[in-house]
Amino acid sequence: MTESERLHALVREVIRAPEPRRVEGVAREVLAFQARHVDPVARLLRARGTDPATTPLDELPGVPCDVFRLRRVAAHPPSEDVRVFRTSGTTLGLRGEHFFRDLGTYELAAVAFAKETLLQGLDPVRVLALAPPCAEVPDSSLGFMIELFAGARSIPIEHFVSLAGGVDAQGFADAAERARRHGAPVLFLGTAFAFVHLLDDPRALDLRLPAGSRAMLTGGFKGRSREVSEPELRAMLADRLAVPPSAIVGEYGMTELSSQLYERPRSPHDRVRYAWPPWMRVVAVDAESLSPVSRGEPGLCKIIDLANVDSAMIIQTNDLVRLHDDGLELLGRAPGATPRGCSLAIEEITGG
Amino acid sequence: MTAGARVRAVLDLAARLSDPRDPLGAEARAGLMGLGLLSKEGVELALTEHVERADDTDLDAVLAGVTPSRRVWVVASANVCVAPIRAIALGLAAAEEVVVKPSRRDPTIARILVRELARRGLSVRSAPALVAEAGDAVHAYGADATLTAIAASLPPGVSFLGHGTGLGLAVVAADDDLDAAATTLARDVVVFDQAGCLSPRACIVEGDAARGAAFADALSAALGRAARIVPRGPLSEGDRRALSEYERTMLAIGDLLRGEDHLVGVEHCPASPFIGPGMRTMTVASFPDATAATASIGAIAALVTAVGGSPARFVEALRRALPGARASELGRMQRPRFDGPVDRRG
Repeated sequence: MTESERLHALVREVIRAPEPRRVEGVAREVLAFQARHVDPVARLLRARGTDPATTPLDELPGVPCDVFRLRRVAAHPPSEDVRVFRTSGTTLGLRGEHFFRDLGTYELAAVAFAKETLLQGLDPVRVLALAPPCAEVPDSSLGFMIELFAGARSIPIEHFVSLAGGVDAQGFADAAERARRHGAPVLFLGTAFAFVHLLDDPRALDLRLPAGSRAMLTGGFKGRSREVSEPELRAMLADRLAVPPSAIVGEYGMTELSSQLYERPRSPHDRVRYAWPPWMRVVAVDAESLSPVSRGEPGLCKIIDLANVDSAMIIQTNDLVRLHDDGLELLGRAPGATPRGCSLAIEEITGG
Repeated sequence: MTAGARVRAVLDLAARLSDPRDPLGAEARAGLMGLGLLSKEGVELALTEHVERADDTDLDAVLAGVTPSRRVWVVASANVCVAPIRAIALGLAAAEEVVVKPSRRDPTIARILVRELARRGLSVRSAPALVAEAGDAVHAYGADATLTAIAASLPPGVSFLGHGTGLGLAVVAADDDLDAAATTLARDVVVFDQAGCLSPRACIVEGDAARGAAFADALSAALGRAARIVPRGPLSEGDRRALSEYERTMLAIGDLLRGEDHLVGVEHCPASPFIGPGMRTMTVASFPDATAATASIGAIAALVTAVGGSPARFVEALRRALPGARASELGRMQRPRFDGPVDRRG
């Protein structure tokens, strides 16, 4: 058994039976492994002068998401890749890449936490996906997750987005009509911009879903469609799908992670809070010093995801968040540099 | 008034803006300082050494290159404070009537020029919004997204000339003296605090990782010396955040040298050089040969507006890969000849 295989096995044990002290111990082992085998992790620890064995986990530096666009962040050679997930492109055409040599841990983590959150109390007969099928975009982590969820419940998937045809609003309206006739709940998943496209399409006249259905909303709200605020989109979706607002469940995930955060159940007037799985830790850090900020203060989101065994366990994002006792509040992207006239903006490089 | 005389009128005013003893020069300095974008010394450097000057040959080239129009709308961009000089001059080279929409964030030079040109009887005025009609031409400068939005908003019959986002690339060849190259390149970096589309944001060095690191050391030292004479302008919270982001990313992928007013990142043979956020951040990327260097700039090639370097074979190979970019020596990347728009990528 290789060291990576041993660590995957350890992490899977933690996912099956999470226990805080165990999480910390395994995290140290994973980090020590990455410090030896993942060049960006090693460089960052060296440059910051941090000892991965003794520095408190929350204070360890995270690999910035941008690094996934610039370097291979992997403990293994390309010949051992079994899957690559890629971020969307930027002005410069650079896409972040997350390489996997073992998808078992990813699959276990994604399904385990989804069952406790997104899928809890839901018994769908079908998945309706506002995303292209995996066969069309094998590097899409969203497409992969949709297949996982359908596989976990042994139910079929219908896709209403294709690379060639875009959003098939008529197809979705027809599927919604069939679902209403059948009367059993469905799970509907998609990105914010795809939902906006669907809602704006004049062919999408009646999108009502059967009672008990649920929709998962993911991705940014500044999309390739018209810009719609998150509360506005949620309200429109609940109205057009004829589901209660609590049936619209936000997902906060990223290509660079192996685990996802899901919106906690809430009353209609509460703010959206995301919960993270027990094998994950979330720290809000100061944007300049990167030191953890006090609870309730805004900071950049740093995520420790134990399931990222062969890449970088600690990820530094540019998302501004506030941590509360009941979860994470997503405040959006941290404001960037002053616009610099005709000088190329960093957002155009990083896709921010 | 002839087109040549109209352009001369702009250049005459530009010369007055350069002079701190001239009332227009004093007004420009006061206005630019009030914006808080550059340091006092940075404003002085921009006005004294980076306003447009032209001889008759340059002027002939400009006049021969423009497309005459009934009226030109000039949409100016922010931050390169002296850019409206060339923009308005090119507008007046093409049309007797020019309407200027100054940048909201940096209107100083455009406002002075419009006022003074109108006083001299030229048909130049400013407008808060772009209201072009069929037969007009629009010369717009700024971010690509802004230009796309402007072009989409124009009615039929309006011609559009957009000059979008870009960056400069410095190149140091194997035979170049590292200290001398670093000192001259530092001049290009310091001007406008890298806010221009010609501003060098990355430097390609011919050689191994050790040579790249040696050049980065020399550049960091040169930028430190330059900052003692021309300090960087004030930084916003977002600026500091962007610099911090560059710093932590560079620490994970290469090496980083920090100065009081600058950051220099060092990479060897990257697939694509990591471009920083400006404000005096330079990425030094070393390559063993021109083939590797040329391959690495593929992703940014369309954005490169200027290549600075010596006439060495390595530099020329990169220039051939970037045919739309202006060529200059190091130290002169921010002093393009007055021969048409700064951005010549078409």
